[in-house]
Amino acid sequence: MMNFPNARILEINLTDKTHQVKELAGDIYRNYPGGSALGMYLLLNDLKPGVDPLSPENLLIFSVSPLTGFPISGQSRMTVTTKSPLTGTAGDSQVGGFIPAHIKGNGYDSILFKGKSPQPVYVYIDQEKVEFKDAKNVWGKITGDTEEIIKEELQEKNVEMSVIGPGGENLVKYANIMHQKNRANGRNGVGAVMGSKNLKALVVKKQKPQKPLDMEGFKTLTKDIKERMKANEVIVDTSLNGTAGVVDFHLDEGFLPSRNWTRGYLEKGDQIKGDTITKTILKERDTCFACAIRCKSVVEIEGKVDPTYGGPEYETLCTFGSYCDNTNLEDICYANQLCNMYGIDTISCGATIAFVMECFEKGILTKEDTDGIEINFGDGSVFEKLIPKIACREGVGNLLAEGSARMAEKIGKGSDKFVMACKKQEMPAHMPQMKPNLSVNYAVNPFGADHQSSEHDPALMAPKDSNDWIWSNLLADFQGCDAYGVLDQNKAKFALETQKCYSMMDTLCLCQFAWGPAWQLYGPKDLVEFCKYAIGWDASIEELQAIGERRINMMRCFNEREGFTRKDDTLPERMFISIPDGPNAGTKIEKEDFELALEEYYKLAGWDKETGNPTKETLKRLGLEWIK
Amino acid sequence: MKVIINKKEQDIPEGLTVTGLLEHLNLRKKTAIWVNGKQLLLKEYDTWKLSEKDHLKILKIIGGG
Repeated sequence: MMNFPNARILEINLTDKTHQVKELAGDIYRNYPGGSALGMYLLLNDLKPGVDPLSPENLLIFSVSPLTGFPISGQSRMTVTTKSPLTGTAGDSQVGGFIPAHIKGNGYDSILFKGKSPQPVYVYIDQEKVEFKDAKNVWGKITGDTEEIIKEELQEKNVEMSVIGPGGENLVKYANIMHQKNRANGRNGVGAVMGSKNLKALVVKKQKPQKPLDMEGFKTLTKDIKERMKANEVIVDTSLNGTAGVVDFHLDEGFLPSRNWTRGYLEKGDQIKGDTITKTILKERDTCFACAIRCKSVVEIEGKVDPTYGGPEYETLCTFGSYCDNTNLEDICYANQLCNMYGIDTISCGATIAFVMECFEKGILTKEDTDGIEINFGDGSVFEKLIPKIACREGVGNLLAEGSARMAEKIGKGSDKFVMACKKQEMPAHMPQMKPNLSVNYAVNPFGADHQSSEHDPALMAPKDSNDWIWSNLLADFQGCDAYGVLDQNKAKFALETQKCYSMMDTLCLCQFAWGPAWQLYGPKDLVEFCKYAIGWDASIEELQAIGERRINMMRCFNEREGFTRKDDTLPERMFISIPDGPNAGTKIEKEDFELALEEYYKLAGWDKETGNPTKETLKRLGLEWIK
Repeated sequence: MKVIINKKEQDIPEGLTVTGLLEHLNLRKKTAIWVNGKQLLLKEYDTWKLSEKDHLKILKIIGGG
């Protein structure tokens, strides 16, 4: 058995501006090897239960993994872990780009912030050098200006940084942390935690990439990359149309969540398709460190949309598009830009505006409540009025900054029926009516509804000699499925086993387009090889699955400490309505089937069926007895 | 000839293979296909010839986003 590397954790106390490096022994680190699991390990050990997420006591942890920074596609990802101000649960958010590789290059697996600076600061790291810099010149600035000013102040262009915008400074519940103006730790309000600590930016000096331990072996994974990509139609499409290509498929099938999830079909939806974007406003495709896929969208609309802020991904095209019954691409692209400038999550922001639109439609809100702004379905012109208000908590923006669930609590009048969120986090744009395993995942996922926490159901429909089927069945034995809308014990098992896999990938900080158990560029056996060639880790699929399972259980234990139970594993009632029109009208999931699948999931997971929390036996099996 | 695709009758050219049908419908190969209730393997797409009145179910395969 190899000697697993120790984790190097840079602990920064913002209150007294001190720092220290701690090491976590390799034999322990192997159980929580980076990213989301390492962050949860530190959070469970160092954060007391019941802490206000926006108080100095909360922790903000940036973590990468032993596999980060190697010259292969899909390895430059980073997790931010904290207690979420949006959900009150374990907070977890991922980002790609370049900063993850350079955090690893600086010699750290984790950078943990504690306390609160008396004044706004940013922190500059160049290997062992850690400097606290006055942020008075950038506080209040948008993300792009912040990056430019910091580079000028440091007189250093060779840096990467994670910054907050006004959204984070003003503690918007769904504020994000931006990187390169166009990549976001978007979910769970991690930017608000950063703002609550008066931390404007984490800046790291660029460093050399990691070298694989076995370069010759490593090349067996990378040398045929062009052929590997060409042979995978999903990757070809991702390279061509980016994530926006998913709009095309969901629209064609009638599963594009529209008009605040009352429909699955959007009239004139062709106007926001990936294919349309590629043919009209796409300027180029950008990429992350060492990644061959190049899925990042960069769009330009002269005089309106600045390409340096990227372009709308699938989720953003839906939240500001179909959720709002809006097909004006320019309005969507500009909303995306504004969210990136002000540092707020495009999913929660667009979904909250869609919620307000329905409140308007039902007469629960009027323009008397919204600073004179008519907020109607189909009118994307409201985005540029509302987003700055939300980020700065001005007028009605102060209300929208709380997210749809808290808004409904304040508004009342039955508006809670229009909240499309789980654990107060607004839902991503994948309809459980089509992909029913997501109904289980949305409900049980420890940090709220998330579309990147399990494989999606179509893998179970794939031909038995396709990678989608073969790779997913390396995780467990599944049964095939021949229709949308099927929710049974097989789907519950699929939800759990693929959740473990995605959980492991968020631990090893791997991109879920490049690595995964179905349609991705690399499959589970390739990942085992990556572990071996990169760091000499003799991993197995079983060990990797256990890592993912351990992380999920740590999160559930964290939530249990905060008072969460099975009663919080719910879905909005709207998930159980039939798709009313479009090509697959009538598709639905039955509530009874959902409840049975949930029972099955708890049983398979080893969680108590009354409380929904891990049993002592389960924790012992996973080596997590230390938690409780 | 007439076949039933996802419960709708359609006219397609005679003698098409499944691959030919996918090209005819402008669909990519990454698609799950059942012919008269039997799911085909990918390797059968190039050789499986469709017949009059075949009942086909076609589902596109896609992941997350």
